[in-house]
Amino acid sequence: MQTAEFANHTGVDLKELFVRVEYDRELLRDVLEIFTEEFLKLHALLQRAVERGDAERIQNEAHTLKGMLASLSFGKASASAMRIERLARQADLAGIQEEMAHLEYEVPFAQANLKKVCEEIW
Amino acid sequence: MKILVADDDAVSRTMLKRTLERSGFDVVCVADGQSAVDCLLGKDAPRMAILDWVMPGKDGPAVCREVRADDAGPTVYLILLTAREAVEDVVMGFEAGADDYLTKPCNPDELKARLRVGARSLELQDSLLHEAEHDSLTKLPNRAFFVKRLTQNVRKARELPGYQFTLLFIDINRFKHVNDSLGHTTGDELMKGVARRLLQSVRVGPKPPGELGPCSANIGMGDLVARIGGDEFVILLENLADLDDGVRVAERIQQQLRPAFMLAGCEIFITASIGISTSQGVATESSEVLRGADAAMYKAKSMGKARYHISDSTSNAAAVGVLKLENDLRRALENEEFEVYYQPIVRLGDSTVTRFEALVRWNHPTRGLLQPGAFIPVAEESGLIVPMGAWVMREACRQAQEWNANFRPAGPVTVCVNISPRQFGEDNLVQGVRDILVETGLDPRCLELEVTENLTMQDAARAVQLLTDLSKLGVSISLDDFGTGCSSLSYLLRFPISTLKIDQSFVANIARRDGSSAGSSAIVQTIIALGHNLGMKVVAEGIETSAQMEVLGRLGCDLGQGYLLSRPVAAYRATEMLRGRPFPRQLPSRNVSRANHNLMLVAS
Repeated sequence: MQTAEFANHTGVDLKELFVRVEYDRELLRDVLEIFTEEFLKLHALLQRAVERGDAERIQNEAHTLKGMLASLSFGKASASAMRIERLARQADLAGIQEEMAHLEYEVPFAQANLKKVCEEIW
Repeated sequence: MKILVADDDAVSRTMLKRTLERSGFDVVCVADGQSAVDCLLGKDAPRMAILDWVMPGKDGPAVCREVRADDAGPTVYLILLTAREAVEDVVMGFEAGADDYLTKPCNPDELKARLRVGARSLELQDSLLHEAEHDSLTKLPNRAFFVKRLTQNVRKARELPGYQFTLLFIDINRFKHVNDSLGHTTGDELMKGVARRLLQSVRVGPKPPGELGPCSANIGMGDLVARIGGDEFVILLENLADLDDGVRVAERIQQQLRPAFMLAGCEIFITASIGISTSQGVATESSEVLRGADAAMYKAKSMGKARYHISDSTSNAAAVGVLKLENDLRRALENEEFEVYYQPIVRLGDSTVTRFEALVRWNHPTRGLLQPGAFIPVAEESGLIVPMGAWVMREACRQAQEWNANFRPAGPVTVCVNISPRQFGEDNLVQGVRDILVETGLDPRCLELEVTENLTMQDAARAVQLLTDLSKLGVSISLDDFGTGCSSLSYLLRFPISTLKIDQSFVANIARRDGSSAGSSAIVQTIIALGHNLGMKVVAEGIETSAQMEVLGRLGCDLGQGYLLSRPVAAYRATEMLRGRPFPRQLPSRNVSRANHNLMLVAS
């Protein structure tokens, strides 16, 4: 399977990620572990902000999440976080609710695939 | 190199940290803007920082602005990390003080390349800063660096109760003499040697013995030794609890400088005058502390060579006065505020004016007419005596030439001009006198140069050569203040002297009514006899009473000057005196005195 195709199917651009971690297996495991913890926190914060309708807070949390997801080359998930950030800027709370569903699907999907790669391939 | 990574994104932070560690960086990580500021403005701060644009508390540009606003520490290379690539963001980042920016997520190779550029930039800045703050000869910190550190210490002493520091101001005695006699290369080597020995006298960080090394090794590891002028050094003893420690360092410096420096095949011995000033007391400005130490150094110098003196408020005020006077003197030279006064020297037999001693006065714009005692010591110390002395000689020669042109029928007039120790030490003295004679057209026989007995005895061999060269120009030489120093009579024979001037302290005591004048009279009589036997004229200085005049006449003294005869007068008054001169007088043959001199040597 080609890399782009793989990225499309798994939600993670492995080639880009491997370059970023300089093919350091240990580092990849570490950041995945850190991400697992951090995502839970960030997601909780984001969800609370959405529930409160706090557009500014949503924007901030989504921005941080977007960067983190981009660092792991979770392309689709990162794009979803970016859309949430933009919608928050526009105070489009309904749109945010919809996009949150996307995000909540894309992140675990990419995360699971990356975990699998770490365990099986690398 | 230490580097800061400030990013609230733990994943990005961890990736950056690992990449940087692999490149050899010592990485410090923080997760918010305020922690980044604290880290970058704290002690032992990183020189490079990667700052995320969006962070809790303070964002990246705000951190940049705060770091740039603080100019106390070294330069930090700041890289902003941004997920946005909008041009306005980039511009804003640079305006906030960032040196570069990277887009998130970072590519490791790009990151490393950017950091290499940053490291080169820092290296260049450090090198330029080092050059700007260090003396290229000794590699010690220079005045700019020193003043910065002193200012920090003054502020600290003001803010922290109990914090004290001590400052030593060191001036190397006779450095100019070494420079003039052995050349600037040797002088430079001497300064390097002095710098080394000063470093050995203080608490500096680890450094190979006998090696100056980079100056940064001298910073923050103990005492600061800096070169702030040609032969001027300062030592800042930080956090020093006891003034006695400063005194101990001063004594150690004197001890370190005692052994000879072997330079250009010569053994060179030098001493230092040291002024000590502390942060105790009222000093609120670094300039005050420095001035205090400078003043104390002058005081130490006036006490003799190889001395130290502790600053007090009196010497501080005196230093301010000296500095002001020195500035005024420079201005006076430019504005020609000086005036030559002439004190007549008369033949005691018939009271005929035969010569005038040229004496400088200063028409100070605010203080009025100043006597030499008020400014000559400062002029001598600062070296301004050299151009001032040349000006006086030129003016006196011009005046004498004018008199001789106008009063030729009445015989030639001689002017006597004093030569100061600084002038005497100048290599181009003979050439300078020759130039003035040519310029003014004065017959050399109408110029007499007065040197003091002490001056000639400091380096008698050089004095013999110099006076011989001067007399070859045709000018005559008189020995001033004769009898007060410790002349070697053998040198007296070798000096081409035509006139001895008896010091006024002897003249003052020759006609006392209480019978205490016998000793002085005997000395005066001996000097007159000595002078005459060596074929010299003898002038008595400081004649103030008729009784003194009578005794001198009886003892056969040739010439006299003093307030009884006339105070020093302005040129126009001297001209009036010459108009009233009774009869002509011819110049003596120049060879007669030397012939008599030799004859007496044979006879004795």
